[in-house]
Amino acid sequence: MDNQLKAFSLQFFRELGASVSDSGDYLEVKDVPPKFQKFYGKNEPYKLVFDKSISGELVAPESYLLKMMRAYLDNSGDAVLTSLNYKLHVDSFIKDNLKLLNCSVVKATANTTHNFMFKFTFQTTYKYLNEEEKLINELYVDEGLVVNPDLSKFTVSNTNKKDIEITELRDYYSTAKENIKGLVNERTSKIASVLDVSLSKEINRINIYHDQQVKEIDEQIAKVNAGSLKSKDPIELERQKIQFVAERDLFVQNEQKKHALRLNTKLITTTIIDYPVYSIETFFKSENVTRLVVIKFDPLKNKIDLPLCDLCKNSLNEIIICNGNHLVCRNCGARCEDCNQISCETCLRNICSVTKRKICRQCGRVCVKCKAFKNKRFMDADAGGRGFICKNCY
Amino acid sequence: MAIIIDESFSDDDSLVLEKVEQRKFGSADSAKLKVDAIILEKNTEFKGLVSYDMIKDNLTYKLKHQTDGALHILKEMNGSALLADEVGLGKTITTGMVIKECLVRGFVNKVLILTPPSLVDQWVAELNEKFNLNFKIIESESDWNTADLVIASIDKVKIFDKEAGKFRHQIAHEIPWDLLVVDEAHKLKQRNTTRWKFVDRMQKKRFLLLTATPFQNDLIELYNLLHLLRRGHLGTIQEFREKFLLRGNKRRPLNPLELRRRLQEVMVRRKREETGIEYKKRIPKIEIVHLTLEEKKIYDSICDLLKTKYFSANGEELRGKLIIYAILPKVTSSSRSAVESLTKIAESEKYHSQTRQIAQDIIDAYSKLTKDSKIEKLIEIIDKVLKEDRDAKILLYTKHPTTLKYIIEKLEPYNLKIVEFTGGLTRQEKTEKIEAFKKDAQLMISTETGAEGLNFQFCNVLINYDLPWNPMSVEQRIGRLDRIGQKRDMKIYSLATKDTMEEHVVDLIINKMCCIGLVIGELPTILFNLGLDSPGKSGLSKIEEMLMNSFIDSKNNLEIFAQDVKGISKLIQKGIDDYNEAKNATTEALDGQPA
Repeated sequence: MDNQLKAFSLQFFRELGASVSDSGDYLEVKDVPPKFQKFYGKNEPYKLVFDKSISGELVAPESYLLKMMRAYLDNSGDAVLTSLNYKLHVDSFIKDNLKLLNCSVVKATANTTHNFMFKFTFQTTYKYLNEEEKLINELYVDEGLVVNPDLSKFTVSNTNKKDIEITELRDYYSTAKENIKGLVNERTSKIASVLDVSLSKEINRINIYHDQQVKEIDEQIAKVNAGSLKSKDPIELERQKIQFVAERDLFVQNEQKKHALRLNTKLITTTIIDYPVYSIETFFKSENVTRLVVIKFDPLKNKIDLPLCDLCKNSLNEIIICNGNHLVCRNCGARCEDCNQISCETCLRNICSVTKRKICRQCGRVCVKCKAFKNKRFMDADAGGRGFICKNCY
Repeated sequence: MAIIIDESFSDDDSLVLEKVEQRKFGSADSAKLKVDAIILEKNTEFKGLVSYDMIKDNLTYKLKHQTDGALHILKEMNGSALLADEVGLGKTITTGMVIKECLVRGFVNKVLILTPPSLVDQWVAELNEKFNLNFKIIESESDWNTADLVIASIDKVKIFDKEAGKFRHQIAHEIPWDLLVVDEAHKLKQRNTTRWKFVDRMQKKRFLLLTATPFQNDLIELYNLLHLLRRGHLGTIQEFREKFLLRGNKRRPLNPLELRRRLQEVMVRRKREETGIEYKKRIPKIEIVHLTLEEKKIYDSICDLLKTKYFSANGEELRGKLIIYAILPKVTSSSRSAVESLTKIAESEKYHSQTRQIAQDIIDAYSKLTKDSKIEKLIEIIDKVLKEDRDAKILLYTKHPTTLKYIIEKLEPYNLKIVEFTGGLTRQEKTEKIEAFKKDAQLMISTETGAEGLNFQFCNVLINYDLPWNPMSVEQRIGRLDRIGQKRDMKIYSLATKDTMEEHVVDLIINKMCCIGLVIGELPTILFNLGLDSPGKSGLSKIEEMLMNSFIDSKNNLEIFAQDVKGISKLIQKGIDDYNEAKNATTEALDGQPA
């Protein structure tokens, strides 16, 4: 805790522009802006200590200085613009995400576009009896939805992208506000249950007292009625009884008010977080063909838009390029029964009329005369050199 | 019964969003620091007083029992308690700490303090000087809603208007107070009094009752006090009687351990011996001034002048009492202030020609005087004190600036190092003068207003050159020395002119009131208990008014005056006896110790 306080104090005064030197047990602060000196009500230099036994300006959870530092920060950092930075290694990205079955990468480049989300930082203050608790909650809203991003893989930096178009801020804030209620509910219930115990005890005291009072009056009324108590006026006793009942209600209400739980949630910072989205253009080359594939990657959402099979449109985590330059999955890919090369169902639509085998376009030809599709082994070039003619027609 | 949950969002959220829309971006580091600060600060369980750092420099002594008491009241008792520390332990400071802490932590907005009339100004000054809190004094019904922090004389506001059938300050009952403080709360010992009912009707979330003597004669008084604080804490009155009252002894509880256990839940009480605070004795030294024949003649003439009806220009009495109230203290202070006052009479046309002539004759007589016995006595005292202790520091008080100047003039030939202390000094000037007195000077001569609220515990000799007839003013004078930190017994010299009314007044105020072994703070309580702490019809303190009236009514007959003073003395003694009785009863019942 002391270390946290020290680090905080160091950062605070540096941020103010003061000069801070660390002397081990304490921080010596000079050149403090007059505005803060006035706000704190004490002139510099300050000797900041973190241990009550050392003399100086104590910085501790209950110290005045920490309170003033916190108060001084109240109006700063309300709106912040930051950037998330991600280091994308294209080659390893492809390697990690795609299995290349019959091809290799000849060229891969990543184009970056920017997206942004909001972080709403709320402070909820609970006040009850003589206690005060503060709870900090951060809610990220991206594309209108509350998200829970993993920021550990990013570095954060300040940015100057003030041209970001902020159109749906208030809608997103409303979304965050709705969600914050859920987050504070748990603590609210816990405090309420503690208060409930205390309130019940107090109400019990009031009830016992007033019940006993009423009982005592009833006993007196009974005695008056029996003639054994003549000094009391039964009407007055009845009036007292009514008064006690009314008083009980008043005291109970007072205790309820005393045990009321007040919670106020305040938006203390809104951060616009700019983050990159990548479009990776990769050229895959198989034995016969080269194919361009675009892969979209959003590192914040860890979302990769994998390429789709040209045939079935299913997402691919393996790259298979048929010799007809189709990107195919294992289901849609097939081998040519002649050359045994990878092909696909689109490319293997034709059957050799001689051998009755499915062959690829590279292995089959259509006879210009009989129009039959046959393995090129059964073909010769025609006299004009414009096409092929099968040996039967030749 | 469900807990009331009041959930809200801050209205300021829009401002934050506007900053984003207007692209007024701040640094991410500031935002992080802001959150870090809240997180570091929120580790605040109620372990200490957050506000203590704000006030500690204003406190002359940092006394652990005061901070501990405030913390205990807030943490363990939710701000509602009977603070029954022995006199002199600083109940006001402990209460100030509670108020400041509540305000700083934001639990409290509206605070009301009800005090005896004579303590209103003292409370306001203490809260301002030590806690930087500005309390507004309630003077009329329209003042209640003009401030959140208010203080009122309980005697003034508790008045029940029988014709209207309501309290004159009923508006006070309509305000929900976050904290109500009642000083000298033992006055709330009777449930059927308007005072008790006025306090009971207050809407209060936190409630502090301050008294060193929660009961005097009867444990029922204690019951009534706690009944106000926490209904049913000691059961119904019938249950209380059965459980705690011993037949034949109203003061001794039947079941003391159980009573103390119950009290501990709502009461904070510390004894002096627990705190290690030492109290020193006040040693009264009445110095009799023997007037010369000429001086005595002048004195008698003044008394004659004051008792005549020659005051008005047309021969009628000209609001005689008020004039005497104003003139008498001046003419008895010193020859110089007497001449000054008499000159005003001699020169004013509103007075009867005979009155003016008598005044002029006395002035002439003064001018022929060759000796001032009072000033000679003063020089003798100073000489004696300095012979006994070369390093002695003497604080000399006079009521009048004219007398102050006169004394300085007369002491000039003696080459004493003197610091002059009058009203109207700036804080800086005051500090410099105190330092000068502490370091080099032998004598500080001050008027009442000059040294108000200041501490001179390094000095243990006080000389009352003249004596205010208001015992509280004298108590204030002595109070400058009689503070925590005083290491020696205090010598209180008072000059009293032989065979004058002054001799009797000095005896009453010094020997029968201010120097009888009471601890600071006890005399105001005794006067409050006797109903003598509030101002009388003339605006003077009741005792001062009684003495002045006696002077007027006795027509300069010293024997009659002495009889009247004796009567006042008896009344005060009764108050002291009752108070001591209450103290003993409290010690026996609450502390389990023999009185």
